Amino acid sequence: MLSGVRERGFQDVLTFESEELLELHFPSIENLQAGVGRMLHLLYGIGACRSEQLRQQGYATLADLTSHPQWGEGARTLLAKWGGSWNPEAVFRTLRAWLPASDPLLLSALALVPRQRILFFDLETLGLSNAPVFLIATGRLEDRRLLVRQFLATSLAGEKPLLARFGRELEEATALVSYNGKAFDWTLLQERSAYYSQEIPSVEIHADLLHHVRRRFAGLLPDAHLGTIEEKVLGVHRAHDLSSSLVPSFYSMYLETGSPAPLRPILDHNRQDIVSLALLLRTLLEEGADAAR
Amino acid sequence: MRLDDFLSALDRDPSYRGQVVHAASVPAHAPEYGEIALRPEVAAALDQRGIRLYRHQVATIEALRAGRDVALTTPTASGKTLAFHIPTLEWLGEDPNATALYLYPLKALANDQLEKLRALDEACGSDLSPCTYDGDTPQQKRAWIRRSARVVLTNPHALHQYLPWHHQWARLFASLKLVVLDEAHHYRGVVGGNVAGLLARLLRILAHYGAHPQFVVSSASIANPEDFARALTGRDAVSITEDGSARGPRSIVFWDPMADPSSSITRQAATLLSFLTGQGMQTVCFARSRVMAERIASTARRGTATEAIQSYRAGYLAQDRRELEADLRNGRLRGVVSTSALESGIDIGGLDAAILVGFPGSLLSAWQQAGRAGRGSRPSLVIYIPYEDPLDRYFLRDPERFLAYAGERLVLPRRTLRHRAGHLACAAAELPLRPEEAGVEDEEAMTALRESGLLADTPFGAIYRGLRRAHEAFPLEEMAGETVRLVCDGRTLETMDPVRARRDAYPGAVLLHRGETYVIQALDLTEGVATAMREDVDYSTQGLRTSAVEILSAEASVPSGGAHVAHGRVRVTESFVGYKAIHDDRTVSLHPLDLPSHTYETDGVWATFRNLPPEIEAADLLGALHGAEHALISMAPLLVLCDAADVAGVSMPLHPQTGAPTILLFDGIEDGAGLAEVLFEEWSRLAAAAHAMVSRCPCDDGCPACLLSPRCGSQNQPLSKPGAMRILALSAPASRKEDA
Repeated sequence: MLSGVRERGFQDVLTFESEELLELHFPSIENLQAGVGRMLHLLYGIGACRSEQLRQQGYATLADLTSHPQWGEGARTLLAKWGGSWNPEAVFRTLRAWLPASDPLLLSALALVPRQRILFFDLETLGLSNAPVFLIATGRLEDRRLLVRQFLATSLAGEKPLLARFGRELEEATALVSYNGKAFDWTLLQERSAYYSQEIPSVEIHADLLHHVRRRFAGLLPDAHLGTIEEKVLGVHRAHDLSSSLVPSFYSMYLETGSPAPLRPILDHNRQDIVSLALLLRTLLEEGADAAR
Repeated sequence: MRLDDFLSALDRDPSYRGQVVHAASVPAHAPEYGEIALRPEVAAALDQRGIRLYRHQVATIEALRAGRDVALTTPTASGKTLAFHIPTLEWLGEDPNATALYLYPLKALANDQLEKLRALDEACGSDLSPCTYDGDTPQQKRAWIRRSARVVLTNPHALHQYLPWHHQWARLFASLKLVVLDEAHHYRGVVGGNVAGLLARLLRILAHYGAHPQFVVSSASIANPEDFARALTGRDAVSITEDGSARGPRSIVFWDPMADPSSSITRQAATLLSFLTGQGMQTVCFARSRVMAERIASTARRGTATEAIQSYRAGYLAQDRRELEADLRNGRLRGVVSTSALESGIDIGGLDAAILVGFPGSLLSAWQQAGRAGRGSRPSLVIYIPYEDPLDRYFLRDPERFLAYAGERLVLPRRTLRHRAGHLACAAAELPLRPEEAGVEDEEAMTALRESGLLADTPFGAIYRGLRRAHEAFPLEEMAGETVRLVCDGRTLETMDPVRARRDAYPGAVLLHRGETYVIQALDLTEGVATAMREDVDYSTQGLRTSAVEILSAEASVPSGGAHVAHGRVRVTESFVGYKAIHDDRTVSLHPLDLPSHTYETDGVWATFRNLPPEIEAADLLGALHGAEHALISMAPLLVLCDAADVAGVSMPLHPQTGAPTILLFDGIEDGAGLAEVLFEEWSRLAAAAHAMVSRCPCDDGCPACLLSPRCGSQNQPLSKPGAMRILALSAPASRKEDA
């Protein structure tokens, strides 16, 4: 009844593929570059007052500043770091240094990342912290679809190959998108990989949508659970969904009985998490675009 | 001040009532220096401070350079810390990546040492960035410390929580050269067993990162340093015990407060304190509780009208403590009354005199306290004032026993199933547990963990798969069986096992925690909570225990004199029938207790007497056995480091299982703490010491200073002193009778 595929070299791991129609609108690279280019305060030493003065003196963009007697060198160095085609890692490094983690620009700037190298991900584990990971869902954008790939460990022995398989996905990623993934999922992946003495590729850009939800919906929602966001913001209704808190015991049931029946609701639940994550990014990008207008 | 001057000054004092029953002089000890070539910056830092290394410090450095572990057990103030700081400074100075880990039993001790180490680090310019890392470390500093600090000072409880995050410590662990266990004598009994389990896990993780550090186990003087270090670390260590530091002549005065019945012990201690400070001697006085310390301090201040006498305790704010410590070092403060908080670890410099009010429970502690007097080669004076308690007063009659201290034995308990299961579960949560890493003796625990679904076997080893974090599901204190929390104002002060909770935390009990008195309001054993209130009271309480003991198995049995001694597992059913409130050594009230009895398994040691001499009459037999039992329990702390209340006993004219008159002692701790086994091994010395104690007591029928036990649940009835002496003589081989 499970339609997963066993890939060579990854014992005890099943891969499930599916897709969902879903379109995301990032700002155009030109608009983004224009907007970021006007942020003179991305240069060390320039604050709000000074950037206003500079603007009045006719230095509207970082490119203009490259000819400034005092700030020219800094501006040239910064733009050189970013490179002619604006290397996304370098730009994010600068933005992260000066902006709060919840700044909408940190989402818009994902426009710099090639679409298919943005990786949505979500984990299911056997407990809260330090517990084995048994299922990882990933999502990638392609045309007008979200390609969902789920990797399931079919036994506890499958955790190590599962992490290795996910590592392959990470190698094909420039940016990660998660919900509370900075504090939880990513930390846990590192911990579990260290547990098996297995390297895990690192991805420098990580958009944790929880930070953005907290800022955007402050005071408007009772809590920041993904379920609450789905219901109040995304309009997603999970009709027969398995509650998150039951996921570990359903998987344990599968381990004990060997019957795959409890796996279906877990896979569905985990798949919906990834779809909702993509929908949430779409909503936040729209709000960001609205705010910019 | 010399002893003669002190004694003649006392004689001239109108309030002196001849309390000095014995005075001994320990001759001065010239410094024995050693020579060793050090790295230039370390040598320069020592020169600049005018420090020459003593022989034992050099021996420590040499042993470490030779790749050995070291058990360092020289006395207080002999410069133990410097002996292991130097290799740290040298090795970390040589290799800019090398690191060291220092473990302290208490956060406060780590904080005190941090400053010393920082000063040395700065003087040498070795850039070690020593840092403490524990529950108090601010969140924003943590990542930096894990990334950059090269010496980390922490404690076992904290380390237990950090081990599963070992990848965050990969840098420190991978380059670890030295692990220091300072003040290691705190790791005795069940606590020590847990530290041993923790260190085994640490070593496993270090090996995973390719690190094989050396260990320094630094402790107060003990009888079995090699064995103790091996029990803790699982490795062999070079034992360094010979003290090469300079010590001036030391006089030890045994003071009998009973010689002046009109004055309480507190008052006599206060009078002595003001007398000594009045003679220009800077003096530290050790009291059992903070209330007592404050009473002595205020009484002493009245006597001398001086403000230069203060009390000191662990509970003071760090800032206040630092000021007191500085005032002691610079001599502004002339007298200080402290709980055991000042016993060790904290740098207050050497003083001229120390007064010990009451025996602090072990000679190890007593000598740590005495060691606070003495600065370089200047003479020092120690005055010992006993309470009316058998062991306390025994030293008045046998001062040599006090003076010839060679250290108690420090033992760790046999590893219980709970202990093994806890550490195995944590180990499997840290790194998959390969089959060869769990020994045969771990099999039962592994099976239990598999059956409860906490461990699962994979091709990579057994992995932990519990829903709760292993290190939360198995906190160190619970692996030690400490499942009852002592809570005051919502804060957990300490944890204890259920047996000790019944013994010390019944409703109405006065409990001492770091010198402060707390009154227990309620004890909920189902929830595992004892609720306490901070209250200054001037009385203490003593629970009255009755026990029934069933022998489960005997592991060994040997003849000892006319008795047979055996040890093994026992099942104890214990009830606390009431408690008494005691003020100034006198029972002031009796209170009944209505607590359910409790049954637990522990270790026991028992002596049976099959051929009793005719002098012990049948009618007298129970009193004889009962009295001997009390005396044996009183003397147990002489042989193995424990609280007198940790050993309990029963005696019976006809034990149904042995079929003979029997005295049975047992570890009053669930699962046992390894005490009974030591008492079995040392039985003849124990019996000889008990015999000497009882026979040297001048009373006729038994008194609080020999046979009467404040803890006895049967009101010390019946007791026979002549009978007890015969029983004790019988159970010690003839040659041992006077060896006490």
